[in-house]
Amino acid sequence: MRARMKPYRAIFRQQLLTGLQYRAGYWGSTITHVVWVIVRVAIVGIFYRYGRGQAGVTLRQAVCMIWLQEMALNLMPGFGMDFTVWNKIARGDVGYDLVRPLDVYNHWYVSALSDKLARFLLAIVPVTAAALLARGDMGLHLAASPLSILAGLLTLATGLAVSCAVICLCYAAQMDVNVGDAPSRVMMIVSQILAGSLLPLQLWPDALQGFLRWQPFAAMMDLPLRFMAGSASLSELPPVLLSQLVWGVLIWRLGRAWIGRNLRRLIAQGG
Amino acid sequence: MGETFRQSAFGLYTRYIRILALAQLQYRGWILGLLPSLVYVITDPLDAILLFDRFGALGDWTASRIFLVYGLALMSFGLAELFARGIDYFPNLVRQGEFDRLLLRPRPLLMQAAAMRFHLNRLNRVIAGGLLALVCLRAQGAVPSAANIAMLVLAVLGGMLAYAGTLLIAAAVSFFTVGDSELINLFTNGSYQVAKAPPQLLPNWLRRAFTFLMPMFLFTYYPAAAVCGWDGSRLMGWLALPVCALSFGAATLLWRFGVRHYKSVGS
Repeated sequence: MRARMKPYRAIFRQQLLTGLQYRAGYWGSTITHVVWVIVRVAIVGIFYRYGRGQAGVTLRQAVCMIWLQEMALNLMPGFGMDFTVWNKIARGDVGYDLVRPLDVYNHWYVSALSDKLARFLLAIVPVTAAALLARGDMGLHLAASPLSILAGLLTLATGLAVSCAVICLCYAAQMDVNVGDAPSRVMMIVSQILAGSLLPLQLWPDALQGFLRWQPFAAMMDLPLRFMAGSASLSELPPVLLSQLVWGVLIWRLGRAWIGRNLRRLIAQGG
Repeated sequence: MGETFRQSAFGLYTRYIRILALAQLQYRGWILGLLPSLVYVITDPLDAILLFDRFGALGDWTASRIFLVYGLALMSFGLAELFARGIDYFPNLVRQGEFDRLLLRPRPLLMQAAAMRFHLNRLNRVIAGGLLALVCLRAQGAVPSAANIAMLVLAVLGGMLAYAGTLLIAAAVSFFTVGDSELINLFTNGSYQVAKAPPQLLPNWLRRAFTFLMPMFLFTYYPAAAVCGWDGSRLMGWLALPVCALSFGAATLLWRFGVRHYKSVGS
């Protein structure tokens, strides 16, 4: 078992370290994201202050979710993603990955994991600093207890496992020539939105909350962040983990089966 | 052959665009190719729609007011991306050393740069923004008089120039830096996010940045206010095109400065 895991561990380690090295445009992109959050926070704040309706979460909790999202979005499919595997599939270089004595699915899963994790780690320091510097209601106020923050971090980590399975599902769709690249791109956009990237899911219509709570993408970002913002209690922890487990296994198996089917039908051309 | 050689810059530009568009239509699945960008464009205003659904109108600011401003911005940006996609792509051209090819041709550089790329899927923003603006104008009960129509058309043209100018500034900067200038996204894709709230209620620095630095509210809010009779002077509504044309001119100067300082690495 240990020996079998070794190549994947090596790929993970090497790609994580590469990901943490200097990236072109790191600061430009960080500043962009921070200004982006400030705009989103300002807009949500205006609706809270001047609108007449009610929300189940306080402005502080909503603002907290939006700040945390700016880091957690790096864990989502398609957000600032490394398109290496994607491009390999599109251009046919995928042949190189197929001749390696490795399981292709595990290889791509581990690459996605290291890429997402590196981006997330790089975002933590500058975004947290900006969030703490922002004044008044616009700033980051972690209303939760240390235990809730831990629960948030734990479920964010387990949510990453689901997110990487979704990324591999997108690769599978991209490989399927009959489908073209439109479905996988659409899948990435939809999964981000349903993970709460446009607006924290608790601000969506009350009638939809039941659906939003249990669909697979909420468990990747929105549900974990609720713990940290204090808009969900610790008693929510078991259902979140259950949702992640069920969806994670389901999407993993689906992606594996789809990639397997694609490989059987794949014709490698040229040399 | 002799005739094509004498072609005007504009004639050549339309020829480039026509060829690039026809090439994309060759793919049987080209309609499917428009889908991801369509989903992206349609879902983008979802947060504002959901916020209006939950919180209701913000005083005078109903959803149709917000989305009129947003739609005008979206359409302007779509037009700039449709017709100046090459400028958006320009930094890659410099980075990969392909700019030299353009320099060798005895044709206007800016025209060549703008015509390097053309993507049909950029039509999504133009159509969605235009339809959204029309629906909202109806909801606002705007009078379709000649003056009003002219004001809106000129405003959208101004907006197109302002966005093209923004892309051109990013292109000019690429002569001097290697990195991705993701910052420019704040003034392109990011600008119409700002239009999701009433400008009067935004933080002052944000409203000023998008009125004076990148004049997004000048070519969206003021013409809309003049046409729908919200407030403010009608004169402000006419300012969009001249001001945006000036800013595009300034961006052109910056780009020319960049071209003069371009150092080819040869091949």
